[in-house]
Amino acid sequence: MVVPGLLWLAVFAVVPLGFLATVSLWKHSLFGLTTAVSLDAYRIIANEPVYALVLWQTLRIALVTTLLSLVISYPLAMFLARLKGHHKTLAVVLVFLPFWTSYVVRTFVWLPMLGRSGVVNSTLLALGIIDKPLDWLLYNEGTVYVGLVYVYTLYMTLPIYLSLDRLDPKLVEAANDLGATPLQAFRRVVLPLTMPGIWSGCTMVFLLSCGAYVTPQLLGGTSGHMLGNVIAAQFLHTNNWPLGAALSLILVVVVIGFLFVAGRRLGLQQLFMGERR
Amino acid sequence: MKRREFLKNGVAAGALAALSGGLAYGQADPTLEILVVNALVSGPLKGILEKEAKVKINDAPFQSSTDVVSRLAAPGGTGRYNLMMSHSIFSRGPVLGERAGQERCTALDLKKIPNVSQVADTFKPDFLERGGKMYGIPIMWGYDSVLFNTKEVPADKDPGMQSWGLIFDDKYAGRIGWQDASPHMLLAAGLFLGHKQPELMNAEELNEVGKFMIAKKKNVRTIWTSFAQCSNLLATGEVVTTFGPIPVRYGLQQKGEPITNAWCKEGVLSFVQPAYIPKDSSNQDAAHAMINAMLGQAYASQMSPVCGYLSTSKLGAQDMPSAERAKWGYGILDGSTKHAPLRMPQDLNRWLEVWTRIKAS
Amino acid sequence: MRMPWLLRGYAAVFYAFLYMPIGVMVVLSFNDSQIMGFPLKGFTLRWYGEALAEGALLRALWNSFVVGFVASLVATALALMIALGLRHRVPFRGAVLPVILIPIITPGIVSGVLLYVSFGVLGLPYGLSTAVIAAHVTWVLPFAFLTLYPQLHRFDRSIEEAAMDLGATPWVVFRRVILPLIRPAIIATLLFSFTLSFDEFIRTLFVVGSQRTTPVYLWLLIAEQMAPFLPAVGVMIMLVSIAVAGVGFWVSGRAAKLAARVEG
Repeated sequence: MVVPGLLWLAVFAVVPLGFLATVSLWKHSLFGLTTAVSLDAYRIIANEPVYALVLWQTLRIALVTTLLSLVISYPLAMFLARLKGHHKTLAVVLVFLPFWTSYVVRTFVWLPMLGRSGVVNSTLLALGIIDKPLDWLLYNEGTVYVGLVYVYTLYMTLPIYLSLDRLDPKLVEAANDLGATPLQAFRRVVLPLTMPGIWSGCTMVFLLSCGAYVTPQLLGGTSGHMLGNVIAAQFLHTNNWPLGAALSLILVVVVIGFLFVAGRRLGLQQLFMGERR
Repeated sequence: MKRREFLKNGVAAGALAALSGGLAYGQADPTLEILVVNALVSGPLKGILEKEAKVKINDAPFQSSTDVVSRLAAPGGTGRYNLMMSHSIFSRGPVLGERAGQERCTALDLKKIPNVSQVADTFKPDFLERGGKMYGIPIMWGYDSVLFNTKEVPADKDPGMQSWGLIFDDKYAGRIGWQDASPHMLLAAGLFLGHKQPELMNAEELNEVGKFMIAKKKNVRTIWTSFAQCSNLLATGEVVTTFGPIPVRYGLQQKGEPITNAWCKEGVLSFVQPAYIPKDSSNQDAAHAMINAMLGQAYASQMSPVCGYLSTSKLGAQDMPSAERAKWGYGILDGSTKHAPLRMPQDLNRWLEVWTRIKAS
Repeated sequence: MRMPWLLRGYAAVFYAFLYMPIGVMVVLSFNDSQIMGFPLKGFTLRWYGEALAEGALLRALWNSFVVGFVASLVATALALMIALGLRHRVPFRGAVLPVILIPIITPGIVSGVLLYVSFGVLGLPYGLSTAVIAAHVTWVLPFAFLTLYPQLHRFDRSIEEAAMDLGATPWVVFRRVILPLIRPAIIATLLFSFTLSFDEFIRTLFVVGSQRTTPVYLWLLIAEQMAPFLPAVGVMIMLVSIAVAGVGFWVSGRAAKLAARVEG
């Protein structure tokens, strides 16, 4: 049963990863790649502190984005789960809809919204609330968070909504009958039972944020620099595939490690992979 | 299963019209898959080439010159495309290979490219040759300079102001744009700081440039990657001056925006792009014909008006009035405009590191 | 469960923020200005005209839909199989999750390059029907899995076991017991997968050859020039997607009714 899926992954995910590791060990020269084995790429990364710095910053931004996204999406998922019938379908589709425009356009639109001559500034100026356009709306780390959270809303909302949707309302009723306040019922009944959905959403958003490069580059101005940019530069500007591959490999290893440690500490791993009888 | 079939049929019916529109291709002409700056085959330019060379052209998405040569050098890369173009500074190595006999491209049959004699003498160093055989011919050239808004920055009236310094100037703090491109930005800074050949800077000098740029970074509104971003920044007034390429200046001027480029007194950064034919590709005769057509009158004279880049062929500018030639930048050819050829530093990695440091600071 | 007003209010604000950029996009699509941005200079339909006249755009849209359709089906099917299979004690079970997550963690550029090189080495052609579908299925699979698995994982097996005790084959158990209960999750996963594939461009960029999917087309457009008709294109894409989704839902509703009637 599991075989076809795993086979696909083996071919398209594992093998390329192995290839990635191999490429990271090659030698880079002006004439292109030579397949001589060398640790040059890793030596460069170890000696130049900027790479570790950017990696750390990437993890930090990804973490904050994930938490913000969770806080923002959970209430909406609750809203969706409590609707019924046509309203529910409509509301869910309305969440999907913005993601059916183009990612490119959607990200670009932030510029005329938050720029010096953009909607927000023009409106505030017209209303007399400010007398000079606000500079800080755009091109800083805050903008990156806005952009990333916006782009990843769907990824967080959907799994949480599905979990909530399958929750048997009788469980909450039972808790209420036993004297629990709504907050307690939420904390002790709803939250634990929706953990798999939360874990899914957080994993997706965290992973995506770690690899993000278009949004932070477009909205971050001179801040919010992430590893995705550095890796992209290796492939697009300097033709240094080994370095790009090495950085990617390190990112993959660090992120998976991070997930496992965090998952284990929060006991989510057991819940998610489910050691059920 | 019914549901899926229904859906498939519905979508198929709905879009058949769109699809059939794309089927009207002539079957006779050979098809060339090319990887070049897409602007070079945009609009009427593609039609001109297809007619002159009797080919059909399919252009793949161009990302950067380094990406092009990476693809050439990657396994299987010598048969993917029929024609490729990239900055000469990146091309020599991958195209010619490390030693004789390791060339990745076909030795060109110059009898099939009579227009090669039309290439201006300035571009002699940009031919890719080895052992008397020709592997790459310069087709297009251009330059990066400083773009500015004439209403906010009166540099068009004051040639003394025209300098790379504009993009480091505290006077325009918060309204400056940089391009996310090393070595370009570092070379520009190097020129401004007085290095005549900035690509030869040693590690110490490079670090000095890095420190200078980190200090000036506070003046920068944002660092852009795509040309659309750059255009948008200038057009909306978000920045008043930026490091910029020709197509952006050209596009904005077409739209009537008050943007022009500065002829930096330290020299604008000029580059050349040769075309070459990967050695295992098909339709090589047709590829030769295309190169010849690119150097011919019909195409070369239209290159600048359509996309802003400049032709290496003398046939390109020969009928242009001198004011127009100066505007496009042909002044570089006869020396009336100062330029510094964009050359690749020896240790590109170190340059990228410095640039990464600047961006991350 | 009741719907507290606080929740309603929150939802209203949420949707407002979700749609603000969309609203701006719609407004800008009618802006008679050469720049994609404010101030508004007048009303015009020319951007729609230009976008519709671009045969390349329509072809790219078609390509995106077909690829999205196929990729979402394949990925959901594969993800479902893995999710179902993982409920049993398969060897190496703990190691499966990180493997599944690899395509998400690997930055898009890297995946694209790796696929490009792999296909080159194997001598396989690039293009929509081969490399692009492969790239999209690989990209979408982890998301499909992450969406489906939590729904299957808490599944009460006793119902299944009861059905099997009554003599049902595994396939019948799947079709009549499991499938109806996870139907919403599967539909959501299909939609989600389609959305992901539709928007994916960075991996596609490397293996698409000379054809275009919509995001690739747009990405190239802005790489070289500023395109004031970008918002109009965005609106058009959205409208077409709505139409397709509408058809899909209508068909799915009809099929469900039909199935209910047949089995009822």
